[in-house]
Amino acid sequence: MNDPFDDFEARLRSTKPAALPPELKARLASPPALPNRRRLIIPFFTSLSALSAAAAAWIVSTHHHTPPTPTDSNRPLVAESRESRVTNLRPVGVVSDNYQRLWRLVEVAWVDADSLVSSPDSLAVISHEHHRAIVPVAITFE
Amino acid sequence: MQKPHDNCVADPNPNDSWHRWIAECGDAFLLYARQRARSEEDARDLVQDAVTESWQRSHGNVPDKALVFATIRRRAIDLARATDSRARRETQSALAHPSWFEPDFAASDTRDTIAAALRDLPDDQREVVSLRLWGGLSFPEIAAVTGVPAPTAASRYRAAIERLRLALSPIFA
Repeated sequence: MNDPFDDFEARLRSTKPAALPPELKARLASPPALPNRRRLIIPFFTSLSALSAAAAAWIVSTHHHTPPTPTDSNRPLVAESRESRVTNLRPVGVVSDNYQRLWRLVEVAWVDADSLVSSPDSLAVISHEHHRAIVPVAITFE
Repeated sequence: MQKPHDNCVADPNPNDSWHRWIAECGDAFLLYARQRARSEEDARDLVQDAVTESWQRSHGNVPDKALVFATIRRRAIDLARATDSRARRETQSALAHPSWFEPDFAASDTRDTIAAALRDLPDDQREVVSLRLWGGLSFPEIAAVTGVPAPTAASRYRAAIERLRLALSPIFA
C-alpha cells in the first residue's frame, strides 16, 4: 500500500515546507514543563481503584434485603424485598483516557425485582425493573 | 518514517531531544496546521499547543509524529467549532498567510504554483497528500490521524496526486 514515491512525488516532496517563523520558533525555544506525575497518578489510581471496585461490586453483586415477616395476622401488613441480579454483560469497546490508559466499557443489564407480600392473605406482587448502563472497567495498570 | 519512541523511559537530555525534534518536524507540523486552520495566528497556536500536549503526554520523550498530526487536527476542529464566527472573519487573512513552502528564489514560480495546486485540492485529498509527502506518514498512520480506513486514505492520495500531476504538468514537464 505504501508504494515508493515516483519521480513526480519525489519532486513534490523536495519542495520543503516553509521554516517556522522566528516568532513561533521563539515560543518553542524550550520544552514545556512536564506536569507533576505524582500528583497526576495518585488521583488517577484513586479514582481507578474506586471505579474498578464499584464496577466489580456492581457486576457481581446480587443483594437481598431479607423481608420482614408479617406477624400480626389481624392487620394486613406488607413485607417488601428487593433482589437485583445481573442478566447480561456485553463488552462494547476499549477506550484510552488522557494518560493513554486503557478502559474496557462493559454494558451491564440487570433487573431489580421488588416483591410485596401482604399478610395475612399471603398475596404476593413482584415487579421487575430492567436497567442498563455502561460501566468503565480498568484493564491496564502501570 | 519516524519510529515510535519509548514513552516509558525519560530522555536523559530532553532539551536536546526537543530541539532536534522541533528542527526536524516543526516545519511539517506548521504546514499541516496552516492547511487546517483559518488564520496564520491560529495555525501557530495549534502547533504550539499540539507539540506541548504531545510532549507532555509522552512524558518528555519525543512523541510519534502521527500523534502530533492527530492532535493538531483535533484541536483545529475544536477551534473551528468554538470560534466559527471569528474564524469566518479571518478567512481573508488566512488566504493571505505566508507561503506554505520554503522560499526558493530560483524557483519561486514553481513553489507558488505547487501551493496553488494544493489549495485547489478538496480538503480531504489535500490533507492526505500533506501528511504523506511532507509529514512522512504511512497510510495506516494517516488513517489513524484522519479517522478513515487506510485504503480510503490511499485512494484519496492517488486521486490527489493525479490531479496535481495534471495541474503541475506545465512546470514539471
